[in-house]
Amino acid sequence: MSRIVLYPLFNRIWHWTQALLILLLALTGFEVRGTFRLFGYLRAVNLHHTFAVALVVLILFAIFWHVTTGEWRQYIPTRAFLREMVAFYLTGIFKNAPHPVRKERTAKLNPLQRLAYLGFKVLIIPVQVSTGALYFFYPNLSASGWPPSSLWFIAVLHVLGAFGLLAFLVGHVYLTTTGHRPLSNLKAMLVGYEEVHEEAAASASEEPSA
Amino acid sequence: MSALLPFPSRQLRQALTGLIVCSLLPLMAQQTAPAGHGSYTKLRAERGQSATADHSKFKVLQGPFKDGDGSAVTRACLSCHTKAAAQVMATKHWNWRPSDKKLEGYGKSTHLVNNFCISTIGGNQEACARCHAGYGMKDSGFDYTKAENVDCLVCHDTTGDYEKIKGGYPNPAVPLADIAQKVGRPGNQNCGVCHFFGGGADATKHGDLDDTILKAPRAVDVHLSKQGAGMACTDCHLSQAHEIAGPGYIEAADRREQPRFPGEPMSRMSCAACHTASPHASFVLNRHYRKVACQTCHIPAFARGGLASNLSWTWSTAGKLKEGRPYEERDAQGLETYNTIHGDMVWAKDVKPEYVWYDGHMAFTRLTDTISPARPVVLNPLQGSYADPEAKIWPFKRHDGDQPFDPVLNRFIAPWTAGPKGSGAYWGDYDWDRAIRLGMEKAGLPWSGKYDFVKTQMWWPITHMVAPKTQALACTECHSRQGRLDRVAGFYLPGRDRGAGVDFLGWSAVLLTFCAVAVHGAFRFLSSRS
Amino acid sequence: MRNTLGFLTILALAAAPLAAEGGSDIKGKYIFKKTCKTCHAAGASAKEVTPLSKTQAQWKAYFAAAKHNGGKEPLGKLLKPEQVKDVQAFLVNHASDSPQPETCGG
Repeated sequence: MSRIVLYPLFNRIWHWTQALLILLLALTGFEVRGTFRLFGYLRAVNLHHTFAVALVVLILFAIFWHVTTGEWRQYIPTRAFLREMVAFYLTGIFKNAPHPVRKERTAKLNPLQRLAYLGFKVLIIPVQVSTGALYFFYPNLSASGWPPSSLWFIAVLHVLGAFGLLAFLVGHVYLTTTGHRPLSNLKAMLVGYEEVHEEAAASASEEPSA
Repeated sequence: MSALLPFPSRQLRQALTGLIVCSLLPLMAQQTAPAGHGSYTKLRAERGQSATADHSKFKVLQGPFKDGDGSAVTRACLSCHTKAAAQVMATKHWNWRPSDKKLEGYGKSTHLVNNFCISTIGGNQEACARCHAGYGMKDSGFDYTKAENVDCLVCHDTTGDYEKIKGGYPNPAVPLADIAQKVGRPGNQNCGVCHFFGGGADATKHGDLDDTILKAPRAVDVHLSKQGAGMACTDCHLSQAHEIAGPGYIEAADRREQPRFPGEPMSRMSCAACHTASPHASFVLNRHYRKVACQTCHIPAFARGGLASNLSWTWSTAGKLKEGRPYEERDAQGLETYNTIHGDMVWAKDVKPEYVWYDGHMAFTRLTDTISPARPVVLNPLQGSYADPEAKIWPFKRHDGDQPFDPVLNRFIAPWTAGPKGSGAYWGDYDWDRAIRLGMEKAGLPWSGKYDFVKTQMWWPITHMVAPKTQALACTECHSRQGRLDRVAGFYLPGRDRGAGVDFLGWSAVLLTFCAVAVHGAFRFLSSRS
Repeated sequence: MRNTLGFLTILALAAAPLAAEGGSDIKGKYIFKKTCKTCHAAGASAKEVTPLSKTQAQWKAYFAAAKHNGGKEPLGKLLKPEQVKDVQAFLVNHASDSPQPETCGG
């Protein structure tokens, strides 16, 4: 057994802060939509704005981190082991087969994770941030001639994005339990490192680079 | 992105500031108390002491005046205030019609139709003149150029003892000399003797104006209540040369957003004139200003003073007799449900207003206009829509009813209503044929000889009786399904509108994901045990 | 008590047989409101009174007897003689069994 550091401190702070903000944005956002009552409408609206600004600030920090540390490379999609990963989730996992991809510091994400998180970063988050901004500035846009129907499109896109995030969250939380023990992935995301078996570590040298 | 460029920079700056403020201070974003301003009651008392003339010292006002001879008092007033009558005679209060010739026929002294007493000109002038600022209006022959016909006292009586009867004359029992010696600036009572009683009795017509305002607690009217700001009607309805600011027929309500400056023409009749266009601590609330009238949130209901306002007046059922006599019926609350002289009526207090896009312009219907009786006729169609940059969502009292009309000419009819038994007036003899024939003769208008009734509707803007801010509407009164703005169309309202199928699509996606992981997890669990 | 469209009723029936021994119905209404109602109103010091409180005959009998407040406070002390006649005219003309029964506004 040895320890492999997967998630440096900033990575963990960013991840958990982002998770918390997205949850709070979902709570306040769905209250504004009228799905339930929790904070009170005006407070929900104001909190939603607050969390949105906080999330944007966090994203800016995260972009800076990804660029300066080169961590962005971890999200470059690869087809290597993609089929094996799909096969693992569809059959191997039920037969106690070994995980086809070994995590290491410079390649902490398996090919499926790369795709999912890249989609999250370049699709869902930008859609949410931009439609959110358009939503907030809509009175100004409306004053400068945007038609009333444009808010309908903005709002619908924003809500679809929110549902997308919710679905993502469900899958994401479940998949954390697919490590070698149900809670080992979660623990890694909290403490930053993971216990790795020696033989797994040895076979890792065969993994092709992306 | 090019659409972003034409942003007015000030607006954008405000929005950005707002985004920052409301992101930093979410918990303080509920309204905070505004800085209090002095009681207008006190200000007015001080201003009163600054008067330089004691009218009781003037010999010309000593009287005695002959009982009911208002004109004698007017002559006495004019002996000093030489230009006053000329000023009054140029006003709406005197002419009951717009001075603009292009607006011929719009005014209660001419062809305007309303949903209550229908029209003055079918011979009802003498009765209606109780609320005319003049003496001697008995028929269409009233002399609008005779200075001594001007009624000074109805607006300038400070004793509350002045009272007018038919023809606009003072009640002969009124102590004219005493009142004349105590004249002063108009108070709420002076405006109220007519404007509280529009439609024939207290609270009937407007819904937001009635006699209870004079003694209202702050909860009923923060502005006019003595425990509130203690303001007078004339603090907002400023006057210039006796013309009092107010939206007349056709002329738009004042929606000017900025305060007026000294020397500018009258009117302080927009909330923003005192409260500014951004009166809330919350940026989000302030943003509503562009599309939502202040009244919409701050007047949660009309007829809040304890008196019921009339919501419906059905002329077609008038005229029923019991044992040959007119009668009235009242409900458990004492509200009139039927009266032989009016027909079926509906009254209510604390009524939720209806909300409509309104840009300050409304059209009116005249006796000379052609109507299409197939559908209810809206007597004063409102102008405005979401796309109209001048329009906001305003609260209104909707008044329903029906009116006699000429089914051959397709025009409304001016019946003679107010008159004694045997005269042919409707309230004397309950005979529409005769009342209409005589009324149309008096009005000088053609009538085919046939009449029928058509459903009508009238819209009354609600703007007085502003509630304390603690009673302002909660967000979810409108931002919810089946809320107050349920039927206000033309825009997307968060909390009310969803987008068809979006919820279904979204929740399906979430649920499917959940099912997929549940099945996957179950298989994992089962396989790990085997 | 609210008097719905009351004054219109009065105007509508303006034929108003002016009456009772030369008093003025219109003046009487004013005096009744200004003087009598200060005590004879709901919540005031004396029993609420409206023209409907009595029939025409009862009002006539009341004024003939002249025993206001049990005789302790004759109407002549509160009003001039012609004002008493005006009030009588108003009350009789609008009594409960009159052709134009009438409460008095407010």
